[in-house]
Amino acid sequence: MSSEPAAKLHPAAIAVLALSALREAALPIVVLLAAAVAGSGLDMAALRRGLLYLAIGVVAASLMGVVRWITTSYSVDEGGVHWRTGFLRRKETAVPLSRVQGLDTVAGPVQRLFGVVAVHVQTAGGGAKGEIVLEAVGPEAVERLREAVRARRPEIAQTAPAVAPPERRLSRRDGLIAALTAGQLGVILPALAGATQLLSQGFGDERGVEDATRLLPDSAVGWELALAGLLVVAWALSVAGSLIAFAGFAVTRDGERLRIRRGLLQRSEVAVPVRRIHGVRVVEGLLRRPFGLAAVRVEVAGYAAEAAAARTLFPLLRRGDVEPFLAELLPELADDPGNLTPPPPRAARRYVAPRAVAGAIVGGVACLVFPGIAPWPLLLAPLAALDGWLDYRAAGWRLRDGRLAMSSRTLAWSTLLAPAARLQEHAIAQTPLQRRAGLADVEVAVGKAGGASVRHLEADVAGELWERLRQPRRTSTAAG
Amino acid sequence: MTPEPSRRLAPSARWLWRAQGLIATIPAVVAAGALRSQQGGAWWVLLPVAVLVVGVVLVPELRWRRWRYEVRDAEIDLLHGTARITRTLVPMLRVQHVDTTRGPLEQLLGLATVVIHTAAGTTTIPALETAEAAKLRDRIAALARTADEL
Repeated sequence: MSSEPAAKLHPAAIAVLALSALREAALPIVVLLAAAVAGSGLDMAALRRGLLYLAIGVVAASLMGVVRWITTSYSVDEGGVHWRTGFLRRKETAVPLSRVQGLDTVAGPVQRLFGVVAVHVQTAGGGAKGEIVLEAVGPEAVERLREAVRARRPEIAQTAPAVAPPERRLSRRDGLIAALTAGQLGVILPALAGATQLLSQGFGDERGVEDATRLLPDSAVGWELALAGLLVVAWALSVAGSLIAFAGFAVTRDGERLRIRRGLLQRSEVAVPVRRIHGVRVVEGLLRRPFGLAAVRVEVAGYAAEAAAARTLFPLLRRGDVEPFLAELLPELADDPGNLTPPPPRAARRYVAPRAVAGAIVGGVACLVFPGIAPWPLLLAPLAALDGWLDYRAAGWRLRDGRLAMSSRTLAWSTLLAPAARLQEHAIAQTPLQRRAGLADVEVAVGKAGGASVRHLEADVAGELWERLRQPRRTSTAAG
Repeated sequence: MTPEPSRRLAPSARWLWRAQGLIATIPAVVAAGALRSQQGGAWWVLLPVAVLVVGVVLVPELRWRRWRYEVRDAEIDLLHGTARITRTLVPMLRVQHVDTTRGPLEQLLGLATVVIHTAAGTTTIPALETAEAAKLRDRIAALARTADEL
């Protein structure tokens, strides 16, 4: 039955597999090293022991790499893509050709060193990582693999389409701007936590405590400088992280799939089936909004657990360029992120007042607890009010030709564009105060990672919107 | 306007929530005791009493009176909330699978919760009679399947 002989991975797989095994074992090795050093201080004996552990680890990982390379093989036949691996525990995976969505190639640093790629066999049910991952495949072998799949499923594994598919690349300049304006709080907080942990760990013994107290800033100004320094370091890390993640970003429309390539150290190529994209989110961060810049993300069923970078459709666009960009690459979801209907003017104070009161309370308590810094914490009240006002200005919605657009703001401005027929659920909600005022909130959900909501619409407008979302005009094919 | 959903949860749902409210009172009792021994004064007793009144008397009754659900051929319609009242609609086409779960308290009271899974997470219909919950689960599963085939 097998028309292709089972093929082995490229020998570079030994290095790839050994390194991945080593990476898995890295934490125990580090712990052992740390324990050795902590036990007897940093002397020659501890160093020798540490090196020994390291050597054992490298040898074991290399052995494991060799064994896994020897025992791993793959083949393609009428039954699908077959993959066998394992020495003690044999594992055999077969993906039927009818379930293969495509062959993605990813070239990490090790793969590029040897001029090979990792091939991910993508299926409909899988995540970003393929159902089968071939860690190292040479260029000719990739061609053979594609040929073998193409012979049986002509619509996948296309290599040279007749017409150049629509493509957008991130220019170097835009990549730099994207990195400078990324301002990811999520990166900053762990970095701060790590830095404080490092400080507290670095001065474990008594001499250390003395050193540490000497190092500690002895005035308020010192503390502020230290904090500012940490923030600058964290920001620099965030910029570097974005530069690496988005280097060489390119997105291509390839039939029913979007191919997204990105990354400096770890070159990755992801193929997202268009029918699994339930929505597009236009995000304007605090640092980007003033310059009219935005990032575009996709809401994909099954990709919720992936990092924000993996959900990025394009890292940086002029706001006015978003609709043409979508029209070119993702016409199924293209819509204008602007010109939305705002909540009524009388709703404005409902955005502002609760925020201002909360700010005043927090500020007041801070004044009572730390009388030294009063009355500065009271500034929180106007700041919070401004935050509420910006939220009001950002809020809006539109339902046109079965396409829903909803914008809101929590620090960053965010606009969701989604066909009404693809919403996972939608709701209308009223608090007792809203009931009395005749206002209501509307909320929609598109994926695990996100939904959207608009607060304080006129109750009858919200009710009508809820009803219209209930019977969406089926302008796009339904997808699960 | 679509008529509001009409089906209620099991009457014993109130007892489930009252029991949960009672459990929630325990930390309030502990906190009141600690505050009293530190700061003195008998007024701290009001803290657990207030939690008791809200959590055991008011909320379960209000919540039960409000909760309504309706499973139609093409959608699941839910109306719930104590202060903030929410009406949620889940299209049958979006339902991935349904199951029923029974916590220890629910088992004691002969109740079960129907959990509806979509790509966006889960939606629940809590505290139904066990037989009713099983029937509802099977019905939603069957409807979700036909919706997919359309």
